[in-house]
Amino acid sequence: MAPDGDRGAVHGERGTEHGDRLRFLAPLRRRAAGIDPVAAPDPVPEVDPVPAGEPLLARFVTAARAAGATVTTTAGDAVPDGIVERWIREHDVRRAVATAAPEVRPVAEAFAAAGVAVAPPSIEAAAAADLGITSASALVASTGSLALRSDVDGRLASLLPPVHLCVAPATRLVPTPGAVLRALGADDVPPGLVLITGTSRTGDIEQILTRRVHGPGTVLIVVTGA
Amino acid sequence: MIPPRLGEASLRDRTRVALADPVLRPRTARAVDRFASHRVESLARLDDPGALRDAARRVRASVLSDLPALLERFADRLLAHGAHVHWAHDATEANAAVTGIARGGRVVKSKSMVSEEIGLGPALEHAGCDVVETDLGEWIVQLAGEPPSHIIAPALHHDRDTIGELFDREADGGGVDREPTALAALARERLRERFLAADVGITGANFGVAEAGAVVLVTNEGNGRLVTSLPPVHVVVMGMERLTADWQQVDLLLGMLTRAATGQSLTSYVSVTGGPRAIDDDAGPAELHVVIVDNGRSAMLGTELHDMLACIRCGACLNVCPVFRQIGGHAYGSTYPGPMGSVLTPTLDAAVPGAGEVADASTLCGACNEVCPVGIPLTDLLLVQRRAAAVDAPWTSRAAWRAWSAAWSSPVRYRASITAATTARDASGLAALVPPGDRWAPGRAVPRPAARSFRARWKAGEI
Repeated sequence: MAPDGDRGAVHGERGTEHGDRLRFLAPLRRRAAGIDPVAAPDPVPEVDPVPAGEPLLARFVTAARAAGATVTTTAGDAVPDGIVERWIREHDVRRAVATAAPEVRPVAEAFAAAGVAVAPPSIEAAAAADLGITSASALVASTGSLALRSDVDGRLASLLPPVHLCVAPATRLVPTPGAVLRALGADDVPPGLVLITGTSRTGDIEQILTRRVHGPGTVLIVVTGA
Repeated sequence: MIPPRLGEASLRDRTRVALADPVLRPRTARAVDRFASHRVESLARLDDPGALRDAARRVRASVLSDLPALLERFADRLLAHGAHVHWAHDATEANAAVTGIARGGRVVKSKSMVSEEIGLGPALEHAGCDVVETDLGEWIVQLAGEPPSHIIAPALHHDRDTIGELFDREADGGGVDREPTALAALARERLRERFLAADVGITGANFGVAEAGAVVLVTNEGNGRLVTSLPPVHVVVMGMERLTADWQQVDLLLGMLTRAATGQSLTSYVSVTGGPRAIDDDAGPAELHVVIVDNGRSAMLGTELHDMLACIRCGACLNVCPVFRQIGGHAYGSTYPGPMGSVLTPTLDAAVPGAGEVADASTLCGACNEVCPVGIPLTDLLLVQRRAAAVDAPWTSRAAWRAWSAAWSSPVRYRASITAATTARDASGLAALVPPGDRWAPGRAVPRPAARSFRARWKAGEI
């Protein structure tokens, strides 16, 4: 990474600027001159902090289930026996896509051993898959959210298939969404980061909660090492 | 029937059209009540929501007091990440920037109120683009040829039957089931084709983050993720005031936004865009553009309307407004309805005749002030807009109010007017027959003054 935090695009180039920055900012500067400076609260309070000492795993499981996800915890570092076969039956899984994360590999192999065609997540493969398998960079206890970075966890496997399976170790538990966001700072922002909380949903038809619009309607989470 | 837009008819006539719709009021009331109760429940789970609101208000005030410097920082960080930055002083410049990027291609849009404000959809279509809205509610109103009626629930004036009628035309050979899951499934199938074929994805921005050069987008359906992941080009159109200084500010405002809007502690998806696709990414746009839009906002900066720029577009003020509840969103005739819209419209749409009128669409009851997650004094700002509109009012109207004001400023003249009213109490019904009473009276009972005034009874020792 360059000293000034340049990460660069695919081609590593700096972006271009269009329109006239100075002309745009001139009226703002003129008017801002008459405004008394207001100091932001520092630190800014967290909306719903998790009290120190509260077990994060229990909080995560409760919040993720409330958001519509199915959560399994296991003391081991693999998905429990028999569960893969059950998921294949319940969700009629024939094709799956899986990221290259180390936590994902044994699960992907279990699906392949059970006869599921498993591929890396290209747009075509993910659009045709019944299941997408990823890990997560963080598990957020207060909201039951999964944090996925585009450069580590990918975008497609958690987005295009109707079912998303996420396998992550309990060591990735963090208290709040703020813990994920604040850690990004100025220089550690990936091209894409998403906090996923439960399933895709809408209330646009008569304010009735309807699951699965464009994203997965089923979210399966396995917390290992719990 | 959708009421005419601002400039096509007066507020009174637009309201008349809305009130004549027999299903609009029950649908609107049911929707806003549900949003409002979800908000109350979610805040009840917090230790001190009042302190959080005060912190959120101060965060927004600090950003607005330092906006030029923060915008520069934001733009510099974006450029360093390989994003392209466009400065757009008004709607024309913003639309020109986006149509220039889209070059007549296939466009998928995620819900964005600023894009409604600048008329981006029609501008893109005029430039030869194929444009589809991908938020379910936005797609419904696009198919119906209507503007959104609520800033976070664009189709709340529809029900499953009217949506079904629109979707029947999209279904292969015949109808679609009216169950919400079936309607959502049809939208998914039709729009999935469009996502996969799209050249350009367009989103708004809930927050820009100056320190990081990142944009935060809050969605529930997943269309926002698809728009920002599949097309080779992603264009963010953002109002210039949508900025924050750093992630801790985003953290607070995000939690306040989702709770105030839908009562969720977090929406299903919170998407952060930090730049174009990197080498390790499996998808994402090769090109990222951020269009920063002023379009009348700077005219509020540092004025009596300054605090309105703190708005985070949660829609909570719409959900508790007794006027919105009765007339729905379309009668306001402009992009932003409800209390926040009635403050914004007279300034943002200043060029449209009658724009100032919407500030009258309020009882000044103050329910909006109570629920605003960033503490905007909405009724104070509505009065600012009313004062501005009064300057332009006809001289007859101004003269009448001045005469009334002068009369009741003097105790003697005030008493004389009360004496006249009690004496002529039996004739008060006549007020309903002559202008302007005849426009006010239909559907109302004309109040009849008491036989003796309060002052007279007080003097007589009766009270």
